Amino acid sequence: MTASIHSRIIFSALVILILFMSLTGFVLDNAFRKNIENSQRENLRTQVYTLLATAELDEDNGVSVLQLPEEVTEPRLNVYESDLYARILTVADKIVWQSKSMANTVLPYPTKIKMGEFSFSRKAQGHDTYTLINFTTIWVTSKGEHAYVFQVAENINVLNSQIINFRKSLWSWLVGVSFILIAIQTLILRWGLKPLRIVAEDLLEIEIGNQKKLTGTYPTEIKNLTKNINQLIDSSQQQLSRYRDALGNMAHTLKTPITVLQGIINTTSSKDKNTAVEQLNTINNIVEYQLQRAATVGRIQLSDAIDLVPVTKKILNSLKKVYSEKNIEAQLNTSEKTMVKIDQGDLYELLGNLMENAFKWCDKKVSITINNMNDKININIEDDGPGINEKEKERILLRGQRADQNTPGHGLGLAMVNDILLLYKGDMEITDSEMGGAKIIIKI
Amino acid sequence: MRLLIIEDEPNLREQLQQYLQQQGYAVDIAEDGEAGFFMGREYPFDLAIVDLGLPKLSGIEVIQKWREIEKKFPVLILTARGKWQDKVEGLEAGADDYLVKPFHNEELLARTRALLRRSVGVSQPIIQFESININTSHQSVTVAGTELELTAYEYKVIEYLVMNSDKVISKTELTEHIYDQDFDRDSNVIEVFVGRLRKKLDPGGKLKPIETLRGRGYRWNLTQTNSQKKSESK
Repeated sequence: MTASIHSRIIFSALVILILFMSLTGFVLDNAFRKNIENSQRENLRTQVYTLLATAELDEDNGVSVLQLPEEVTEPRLNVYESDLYARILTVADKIVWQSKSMANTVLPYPTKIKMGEFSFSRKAQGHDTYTLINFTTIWVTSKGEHAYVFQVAENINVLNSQIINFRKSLWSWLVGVSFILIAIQTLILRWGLKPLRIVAEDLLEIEIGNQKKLTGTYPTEIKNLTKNINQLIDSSQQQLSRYRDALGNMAHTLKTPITVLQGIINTTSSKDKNTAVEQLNTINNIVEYQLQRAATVGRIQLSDAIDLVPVTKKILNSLKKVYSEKNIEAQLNTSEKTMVKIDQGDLYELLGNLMENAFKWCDKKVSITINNMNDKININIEDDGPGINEKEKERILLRGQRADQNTPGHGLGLAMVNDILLLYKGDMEITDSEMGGAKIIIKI
Repeated sequence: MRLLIIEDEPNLREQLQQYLQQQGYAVDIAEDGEAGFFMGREYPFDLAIVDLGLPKLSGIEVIQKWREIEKKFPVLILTARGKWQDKVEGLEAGADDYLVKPFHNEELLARTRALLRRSVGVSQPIIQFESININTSHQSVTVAGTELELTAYEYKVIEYLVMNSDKVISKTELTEHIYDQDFDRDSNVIEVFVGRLRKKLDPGGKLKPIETLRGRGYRWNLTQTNSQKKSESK
């Protein structure tokens, strides 16, 4: 199945958005982490400098001792088990001083000692991970040189909690923005695709016969499309009328010679006359049936709604004229206007054939009733003639009978009625009339 | 009875002319709408048979134009398409009946006879005047149950007089309605026909069916006994 343009665009926009947002999130996250790590290092370096500034080398009985106050400037170093730790060692790993916060914390001893350089490392110690800075410096006194290693460490938890907080807000923003973007995208898409929806609706109107062409104002991008559709409709209508004209002409040219032949055959006295007459009748029935069928089958339905009542009245008046000798009492019961979407020619065929049958078979009375029932129109045609027996009813309602089974007058006309009803999805029912004869109920 | 056939197909036209002539009608023909309209306007026809698909002027137009100039003779239309819209259009234009091609000549004859009878307000094919019985279907006349031996023209005269029994028919009118335009006419022949008919119809001289109105013409003098003739003719 082909997905709709709408879902295609929404799907691709979604994929692009997810990729873009993930990448943005990833880049921002990385940058933030790097930044925060750098600032941590900077902080640790500052701590080292502060300690260096605080430390004093005292000569005590000829022994040089590095002195630091119990409480240092950085309050976190003075708090028991805070996240920041500091200590000073000799190069022989002898602890000279350690901050109060060190209490139970074990820091690794420095491995490589490089004078005057800061070395950063990340160490896991038990459950905790620390960022550790080592700085080795030398105090030069008159007694010689004294090297000390300054160690400051900060628990990475501090960092992580910041990163987690940042991520939380970063991703919630990204997701929020994504939702807003998708919503906007959907709205834009609906608005952008609206002309196409209108074209589709208009085409549906054409299909059900409410309009003949695409008449709305469409955006430039689809104007060519609608223009072409209109041209297609035009050409199909022209083709249809050419086709019908051609069929009419064919009927005309075929039937006149058949009439002549019939006349000739009737004046001859050959013993094969009956066979010739039969064959000619068969030819005529086939021609007639196929022509009528071709006129209705496979047609594009582009009909305007027309009023049923004037057409019915016209046919009624015509039939009254033709059957004037029978002195038929014909009744038409109808409301003022009854619109039905059907080709005018088809309506004439439908009503003409049914009403003529009623006039033909009636004794003295014919009644036609037209009702508007919900979305369908009911046409009842009744007469007071002999009616139609059950077997005949079934035969009439059987669709698609062979041409040679239809005799002109009764069968062929009703085959035509069946074809038209099939085309317009109408229904025919044959029952008995209260007037005594047949009652044909058409729903269209 | 004089008929006009307008049909553009020569074979069919001739066939119909021949057939209807054999049936005792005076038949004129036209091959297109214009010529047909002209003939219908100029000559007193009793009925016209008009094909719908005609060159120059369509059958519908011909009928409309006749009706506009008050030509009231009945018109039977012939149509090849058999479309109801065409039939209704033709009948609305002023035609009285239609026949869909192909048709049997017998059917054409039956429709023609019915239309002719209808046009003068006679409803059945058999018309009874006391002992005289005229069968328009068989074109036969019986007097007291005995069939008369009539020539085609004698029958035409009696039929025309009977069909127009409330009117005085001049010799010229009678001539015009029993002969087509190509016939060499002699109005004295009418007097001979009427004389012979009087003898045949009323040998005893009691009924006096055909009355002579001096200087004006003839009139059928009997009243139909098998049915009431309609007072109004079409």
